[in-house]
Amino acid sequence: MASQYSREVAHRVFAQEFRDSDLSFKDSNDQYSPQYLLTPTGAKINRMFIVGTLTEKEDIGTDAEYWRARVVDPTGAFIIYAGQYQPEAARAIAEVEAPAYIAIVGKPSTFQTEDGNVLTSVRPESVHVVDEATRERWVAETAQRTIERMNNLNSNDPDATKAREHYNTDVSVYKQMLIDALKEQP
Amino acid sequence: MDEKIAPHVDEIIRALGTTNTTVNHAIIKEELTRLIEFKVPPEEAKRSLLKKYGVSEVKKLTDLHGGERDIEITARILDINLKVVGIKGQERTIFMGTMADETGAKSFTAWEDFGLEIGDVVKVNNAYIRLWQGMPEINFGPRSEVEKINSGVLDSLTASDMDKPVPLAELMEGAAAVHTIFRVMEYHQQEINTKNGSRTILTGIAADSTAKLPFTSWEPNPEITDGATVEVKNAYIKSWRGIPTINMGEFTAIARSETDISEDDLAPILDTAPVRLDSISGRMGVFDAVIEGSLISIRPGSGLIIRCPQCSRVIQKSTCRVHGVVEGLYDMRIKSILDDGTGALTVVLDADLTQKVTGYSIEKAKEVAALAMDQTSVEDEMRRRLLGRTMRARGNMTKGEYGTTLVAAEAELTEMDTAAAAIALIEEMGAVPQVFSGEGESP
Repeated sequence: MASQYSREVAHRVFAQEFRDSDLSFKDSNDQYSPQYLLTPTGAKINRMFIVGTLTEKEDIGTDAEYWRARVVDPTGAFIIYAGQYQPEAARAIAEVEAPAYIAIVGKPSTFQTEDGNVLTSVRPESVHVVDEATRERWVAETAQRTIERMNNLNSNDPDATKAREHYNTDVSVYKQMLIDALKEQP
Repeated sequence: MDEKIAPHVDEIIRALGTTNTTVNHAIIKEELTRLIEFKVPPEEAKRSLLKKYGVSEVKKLTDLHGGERDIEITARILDINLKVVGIKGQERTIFMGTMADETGAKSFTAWEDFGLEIGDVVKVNNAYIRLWQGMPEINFGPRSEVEKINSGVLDSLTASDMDKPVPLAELMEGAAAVHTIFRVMEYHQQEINTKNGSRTILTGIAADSTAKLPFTSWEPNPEITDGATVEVKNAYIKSWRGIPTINMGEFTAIARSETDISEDDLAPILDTAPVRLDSISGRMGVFDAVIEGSLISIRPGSGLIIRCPQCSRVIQKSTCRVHGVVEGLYDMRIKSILDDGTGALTVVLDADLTQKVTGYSIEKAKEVAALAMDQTSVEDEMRRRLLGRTMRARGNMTKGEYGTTLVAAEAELTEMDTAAAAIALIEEMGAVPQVFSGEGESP
């Protein structure tokens, strides 16, 4: 049953941790094997679920529509790009008026600049307007999952080991991030 | 010709030699020559001869799969029963039972009388494996060689491992000769029709401290009563609708257990708190699971649908692909992806649960669809209402071709006191350890 289809989990990470991530890889050389982004606390992301505030959006496309949007959580901002290959997400972004709470399911994407910096962004599969309660709950659940990953970071888990070795993760930074994020909860 | 054949003959002899088969060099050479004269390619000819002179593959019972042939196994007969069956109008006596080696137990059918008795350890050559009711079963017949061997060979496995009862959570589909202890949570008598007339069976729910599972007893048994703890030997596990089910048949021993499974023992599994998805995603099927997560996708085909009145297939444009043009029946359903950040699965809601979580009755859904002149407008509206929301669902989880699915028996959208959660999480964070990345440092 090894070949059985299993859906990639939608990971929960805060914008700050996502922005700190720069380790992108595949598990095998097969061209169809999924691309992953490993974060400093060891989330191995092929798909992610974000709920935040859409603050800015701009159609930066020349011929076809190509939307660049900024989605903010308590720790920072996610950059979202949606074009002709994400027609539903692009249409949803086109229709919504900022500011608004939106939920995004999407894939992480990285871009290396000339001076060697890695920029992360999200390619959305779906974008939907949600209410405030959904946003608060996402913050709590994302904090919960982040704490679980930090608790697991000293283990022999391959993702944790890889994250530790690559990022030399300073847990106190992310602890402070979580405390700041949770303190603003109503 | 000779020089060409000689290396092939040597190769065959070598291959056969490794399995302790002694075959005359001259015979192999003669048969191989003959096949090659008949324009059989050498590789194919070699394969035929290897098969003919019996290179059985030595296998352990847990490695057996349906369709395998020429298998050699060594196992102890745990149970054997004579059965008279009609094959092509003739009565034949066959023997069915269970055998086990150090890796596990499997059902077997012997199509001839090999004089086997319980406790015998046998080496079977040229056995073959057939799927019987979805479970691999060892078969041996006229082509097979059955040799009784010194039972000491398998002493290590028998008594100890097989006598230890197995917790319900560890029962795997296809297991035979299962020994387990469970409490009867509920049971029902059921009349079923078989080709030998109607008979009474018992179906119900079994539980121990590790899991809940459905059971079927094909014979009524006085020990099976509500709340009784029973010890069952020689049961077998079959998958029924994707869920492992304990089956007790005519050769299963059911006795009142010496130790009772108490309410306290059951507490962890009767708890209705949702489980993390990564804790169950490795299992093939989970009976009565409670899960909670975000609805991250509402799949196409949700909302208002139309079914064929005869076969219940979802139809489009009043045409069933089996029954042609029909007067369709309206129904509602939701196929959603629920994801808690540790795992994801498909959760299916029926019309009642769809109404419960969306507030849409079928009548209202029809109105909305009629107004928009588009059936999918209902799906869009439901998607708008549900996406990103957190849902708790209860039901059976199964794995199939299309991934993991839970068909909900109960479902509700849940709210969270996020302020209280934030306080609890900040507290939890105090216990998070620092990370030791460099060498030489240690926790």
